[in-house]
Amino acid sequence: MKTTLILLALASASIAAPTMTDRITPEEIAARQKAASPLTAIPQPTAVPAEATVVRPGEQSLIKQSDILNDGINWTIVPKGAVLHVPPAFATRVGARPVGTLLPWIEFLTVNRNWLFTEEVTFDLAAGKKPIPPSRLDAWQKVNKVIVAVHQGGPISVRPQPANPVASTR
Amino acid sequence: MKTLLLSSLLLCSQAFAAGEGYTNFIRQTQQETGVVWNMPVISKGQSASSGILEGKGSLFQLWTIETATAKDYLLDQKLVGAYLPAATVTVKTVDPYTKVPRTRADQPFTVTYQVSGLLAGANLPVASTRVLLEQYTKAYTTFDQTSIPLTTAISGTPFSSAYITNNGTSTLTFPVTSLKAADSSKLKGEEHFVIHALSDGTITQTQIASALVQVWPVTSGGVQGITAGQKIRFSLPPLTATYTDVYPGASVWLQIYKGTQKLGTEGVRLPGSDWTNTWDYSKGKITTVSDYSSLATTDGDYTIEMLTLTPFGLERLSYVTFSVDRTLQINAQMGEISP
Repeated sequence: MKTTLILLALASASIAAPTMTDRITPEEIAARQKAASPLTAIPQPTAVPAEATVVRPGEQSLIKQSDILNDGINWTIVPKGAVLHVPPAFATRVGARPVGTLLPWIEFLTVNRNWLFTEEVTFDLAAGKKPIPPSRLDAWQKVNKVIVAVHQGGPISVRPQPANPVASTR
Repeated sequence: MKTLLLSSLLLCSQAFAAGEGYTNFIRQTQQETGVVWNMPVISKGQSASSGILEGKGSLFQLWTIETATAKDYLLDQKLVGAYLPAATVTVKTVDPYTKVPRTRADQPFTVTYQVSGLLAGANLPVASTRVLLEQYTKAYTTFDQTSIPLTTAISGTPFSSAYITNNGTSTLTFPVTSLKAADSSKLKGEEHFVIHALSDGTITQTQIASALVQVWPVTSGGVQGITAGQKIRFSLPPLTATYTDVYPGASVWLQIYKGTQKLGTEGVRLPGSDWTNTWDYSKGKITTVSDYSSLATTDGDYTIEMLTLTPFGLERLSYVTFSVDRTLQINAQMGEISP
């Protein structure tokens, strides 16, 4: 019993006070760095192509790949091709400069409902595999708002369809 | 053939993307049709994509835009496809910090990868039988840098790479960082581990998993105002303690004890010498200590040590031993004064 208590006391003491060491030297770290990379231990296939056929992300810009919407105070981005219809009165608010406060799409839409309208589309329609119903095209003309294609609340690009007059509305 | 994306996509933002002044975007690009969809996103979380996975897959990218400058950064990306190998990669360190894996220049860490969907057999396309694991190292260039955009981090030739030909989970143990510098204790930067599917020439991106670890330098420091072996007769002199590269979240202080230096001795903290680095990067501090004479009231040798407590343990950064001798010795001769 007494021995157990002593062991417990020693154990708790060792937890409370961590062992102190001296600062490691740069030479000690350099020595550890001399070990081969652990990746060299991975078994390699016998026939290895001279150069891996991989594609790394190069320089790109989300903003340059997007259309900017700006209400004069705030701005947001949508994929290029997501803006389906722009009445002349709001032409300056589309393709604008990124000036002001950047808002996520949902917040920007919330404060700009008076001139923004969303059109829910499927991936097939966005891919141009299905046409936009003519009734929707007529409806856009009547609301006099900028129409943005969305899928489940998020803006989505819509590929132009040759037989579809959508592209000519911009 | 199209397959509904059943698995949820987890994209956690890096340290600077989670901070104030940045707005995050997750973008899904269909590889076959080129359709681009911006998913509604919060700074950190998990969301199931309702998009469809086409034969060539979907590219998911995590972007952040700095509001003040309107500059965009690609933080991470991942290609997911019904007919592509799938992979995950994670980095674990001793530091329990949760926002981003981080460690110190002298500490080990592990990289665990899991690969599935690889095929084995004769006459199979190479792309279906292996993926490529790459290790990149990139140094931070400013004192307060905490993140490197993905495109910069994985530019150039990888530090090392290897093909993975087996499905399953494996763990690699790195004894220390692979970053390089003239002083190995002052290494600072990031290591990125990226897994690529091999391209058959039809997909525009091949990264299917990635992970990173931050590496911070080893703390150093010294005390000015007192020198080794100095003999002090009156009050103890004011000290200037210079703490350099204190690990994020770590504390540093001076302690004094009677006797010559002995590693592991518990002394008394010098008042005003404590400092904790609350920043998310390594940082320095200069502090002065003057009122500590009451900690050395009797004659003898004393040692002042600089200590730091980090997730890696308690370490002594430097020490100085001096002596206190306040005994007044009067040498006099007894004599008689004649009138």
